[in-house]
Amino acid sequence: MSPTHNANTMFTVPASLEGLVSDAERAAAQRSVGESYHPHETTIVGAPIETTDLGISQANYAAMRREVDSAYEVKPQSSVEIFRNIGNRLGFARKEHIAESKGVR
Amino acid sequence: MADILKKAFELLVGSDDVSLPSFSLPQKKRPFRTLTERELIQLESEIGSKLFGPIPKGHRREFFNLDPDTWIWHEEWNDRLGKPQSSTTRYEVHDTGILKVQEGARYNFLEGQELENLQVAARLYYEQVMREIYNRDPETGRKLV
Repeated sequence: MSPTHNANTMFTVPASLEGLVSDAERAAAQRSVGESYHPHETTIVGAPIETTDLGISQANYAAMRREVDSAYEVKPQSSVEIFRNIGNRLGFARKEHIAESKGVR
Repeated sequence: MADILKKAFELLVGSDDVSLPSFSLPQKKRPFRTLTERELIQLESEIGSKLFGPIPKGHRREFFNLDPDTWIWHEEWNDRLGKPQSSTTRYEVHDTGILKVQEGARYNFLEGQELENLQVAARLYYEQVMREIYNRDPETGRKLV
């Protein structure tokens, strides 16, 4: 399989993905970002995190959590919303991972 | 650590003139040490770089989400003369669309097939990173058991 990205032309992904991802996996990936979900069921709501452990203030953490909750709750409609949704979820997953590994979650 | 051991030994033996028995402390092994955000992104990029098929010999590829509004594609290789070459493309999420930024002040908003392709790549990246690195269900955000 040849490299499929040419910075001077286009971002040409799908052709190279055909052999790598099953239809089911692809469908799951397509579904995953778009589906809604109830924030009260999430496990990301937990004990308060001290500012010194994460390097962010309680207020910022709360704001971030609200943003991520809404990202799971709202079904994205546009490309921009989808990318922001993914970015917010990833950012929060990183923060959670760091907090857990420090034993503060 | 050595000082503490010496003091402890002196307390036991009761003399300052004792020589410490020769032993070495095992080196610290911290396989589960806390990774920084930057290191986590590097792990993510390992997954991201493999989304598009095998990396050609001599190439190094990075593809990762930097922050909620930025995706990075970076590729390095040697040309026929062995001279190192690189290419970095930044995809910025704006309210008005996804802006593709390249060296040389080249930029344009993605549209059509190219936008769809990047979107598929981002979703696959998200799906795999959430499962393989963060052990979370991509659909719900819950921890996977």
